[in-house]
Amino acid sequence: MPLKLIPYHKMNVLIIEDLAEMRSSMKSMLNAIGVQHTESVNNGEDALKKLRDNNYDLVFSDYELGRGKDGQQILEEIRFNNLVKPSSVFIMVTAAQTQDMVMGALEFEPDGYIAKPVTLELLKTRLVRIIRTKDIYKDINVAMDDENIEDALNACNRLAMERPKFALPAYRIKGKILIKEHRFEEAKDIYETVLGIKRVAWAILGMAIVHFYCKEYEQAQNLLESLAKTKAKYVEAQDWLAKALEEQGKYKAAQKVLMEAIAQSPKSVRRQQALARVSEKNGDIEIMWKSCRKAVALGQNSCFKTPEVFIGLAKSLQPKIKNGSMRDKKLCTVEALNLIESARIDFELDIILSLKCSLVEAETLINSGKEEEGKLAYRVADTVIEMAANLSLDDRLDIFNTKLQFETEDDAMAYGEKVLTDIAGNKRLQVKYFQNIEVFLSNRPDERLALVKERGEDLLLREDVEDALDLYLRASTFKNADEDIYLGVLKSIIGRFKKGRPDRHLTQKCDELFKKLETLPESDPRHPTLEQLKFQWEEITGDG
Amino acid sequence: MGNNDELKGELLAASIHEIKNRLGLMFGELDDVLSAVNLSKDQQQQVQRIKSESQFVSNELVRVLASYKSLGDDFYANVDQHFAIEFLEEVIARHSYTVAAHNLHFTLDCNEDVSGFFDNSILFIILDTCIYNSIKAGALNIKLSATEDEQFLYLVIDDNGPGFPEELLEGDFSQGSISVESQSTGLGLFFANKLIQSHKEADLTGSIQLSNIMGEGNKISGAKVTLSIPL
Repeated sequence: MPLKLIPYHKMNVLIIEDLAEMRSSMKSMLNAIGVQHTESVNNGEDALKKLRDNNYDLVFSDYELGRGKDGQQILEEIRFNNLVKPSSVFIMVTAAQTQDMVMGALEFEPDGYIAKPVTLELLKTRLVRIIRTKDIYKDINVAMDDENIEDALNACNRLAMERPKFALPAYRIKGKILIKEHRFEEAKDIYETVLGIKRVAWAILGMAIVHFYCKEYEQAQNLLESLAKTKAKYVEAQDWLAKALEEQGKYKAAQKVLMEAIAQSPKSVRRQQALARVSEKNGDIEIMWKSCRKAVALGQNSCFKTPEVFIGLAKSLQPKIKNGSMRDKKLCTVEALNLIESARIDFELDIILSLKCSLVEAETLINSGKEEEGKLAYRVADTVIEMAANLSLDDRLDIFNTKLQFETEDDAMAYGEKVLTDIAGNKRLQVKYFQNIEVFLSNRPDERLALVKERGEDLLLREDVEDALDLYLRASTFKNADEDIYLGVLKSIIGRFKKGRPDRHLTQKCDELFKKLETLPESDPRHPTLEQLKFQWEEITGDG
Repeated sequence: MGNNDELKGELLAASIHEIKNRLGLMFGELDDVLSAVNLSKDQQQQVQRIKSESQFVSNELVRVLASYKSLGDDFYANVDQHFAIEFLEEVIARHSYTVAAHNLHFTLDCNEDVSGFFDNSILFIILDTCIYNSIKAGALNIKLSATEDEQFLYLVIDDNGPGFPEELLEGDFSQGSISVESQSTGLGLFFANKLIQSHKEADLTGSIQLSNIMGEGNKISGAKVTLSIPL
């Protein structure tokens, strides 16, 4: 399209920018190139409102918008709800230092980027280029506007044939359409073709996504890990890697990947939801609390809002309700009950989620001292438990946990034993199972200590040093922790070092404990064990 | 020892990063203040120079950071297909302050369909290095052009300055052997070369070639830098 033909004067333009000076400078620059109709908003929520009610030909969004949604979230909402026609132009304005992480979206991408500082010269040049490039894809976008998939795919093929230099971008769009249509075999062919030409990051990501949907999780994982090694800009790749790991039951690894991704880009609702989900699986209540809280806040007015994080947040507040200060207790109880109510009002809950709601409600009430009301809530949950088929093992552990508080110990343990049989061979769930009992026994310290010792020896026997270490370290903070526990910590740390997983922090811990155990008399039957450990430790650290 | 060196590097990198961000904020504020006051023509020219210098400082810090990272073992170029014209016109648009402050004139000579595979954040840095070298040498005209063959995309920067000193053309700057006179130019090109070498395809590697343009009477009429990026 010749330059002068871009009809700026006819365009409806929306500027999304939180800083007033930037808004007005953007507006005057746009006026200078002939734009006559501009509107502007200073936050994501208002932007979405405007976008729902009006048609814009051109949208500029700053990536950083202070509090609330960022540019990427706005774009995701827009694309997900078709608030902007595929033929309209969406431009993301980014600061140079955030550009790397912004350019990481394959699923929802803008038509172009303009890097700050935006000058008139730069705006003019980039705008013309982005609009001209968009024009090359016009046939594809028109077909997409009409939701005519076959026409869009044909237009991609035609572009690739007629202008070979645009073959890769055309295949990129085609791959995305095919994935969206769940035509995975065809998508695979496309990405194979592209990767045969050049190993570009987006094609590796695309191929990994196809593998994921075809349930080929290991292949997906391998591709995504290779992508992570190249430090490619795709944050989205980490989301998919976490998903592939999650599907394989590698929840700890998934959590690690998600936490790294969130450190880079914390405002994605779905990323926070994913972290909430896997940290719950890992029994990591602290992280679960943080991610649920973020997910609930970010999910307001979002199309990606889900009830799980409401219930999850209520659940992860329980330790604070049970053991917090009076003030924490009060605030967290109110918060948890509100969350449960919101989950019930704002969403249509299926039977399992309703059950989860009732379980958390019962727990909140009993933990805050309202035993009778808690019992009532538990009765409701109990009737649902009978009806609910397809409860996951994680759900059944939650039920066991609640039963421990509301049923007689014998009945609860009978349920627990059944669960324990079913989770045989699943280390993660066993860890959670014993943690439940440990918490339950917190008012019976002697029994709790005995349980930990038995469990710890069992773990060490099976050379599960990581879980043993977690357990013993936790137990070493008990008031009645004794030499057996300290020796357990030492055994697990030394076991860990022997497996080639040293840790400077743990070295300190070891030295501390050896000092603590100096008082163990030689007559003690455990003394030879201690001597043996000392010997092994000296071998490892090379102090000997 | 090794550990200490690593720490030293990290300390510098983190500090430069921080300085870069703070300067960015400062320059932004300065821009706002300057645009709010009425200035004489001379003063406006001074403002252009300030803006140009502040942009130079920002670019320089970005370059230092990238050069520092290029020394690490885990340095990668994130290549994707880019069209040369889109890239080069953005380079020129980004230098509008430089143009105003130094009475510089850019020309662009590039076919719409010329494209290549490169990491454009890295190539921005390399182009900046070349452009600042030209300005420092006193050039007033800079021509950016792009061509391609079966194996490479070539981005070429021509200027009308005094040309490169002989020792820079003869010396192998890619090895880091830099004479004293042309030290900063040489060091800049040394790192630019390191950065472009991160672009690889099969057994081809990106590289920089320097030459002088010969004009009438066999006199040097400018410097020429050719960036070769494997396809």
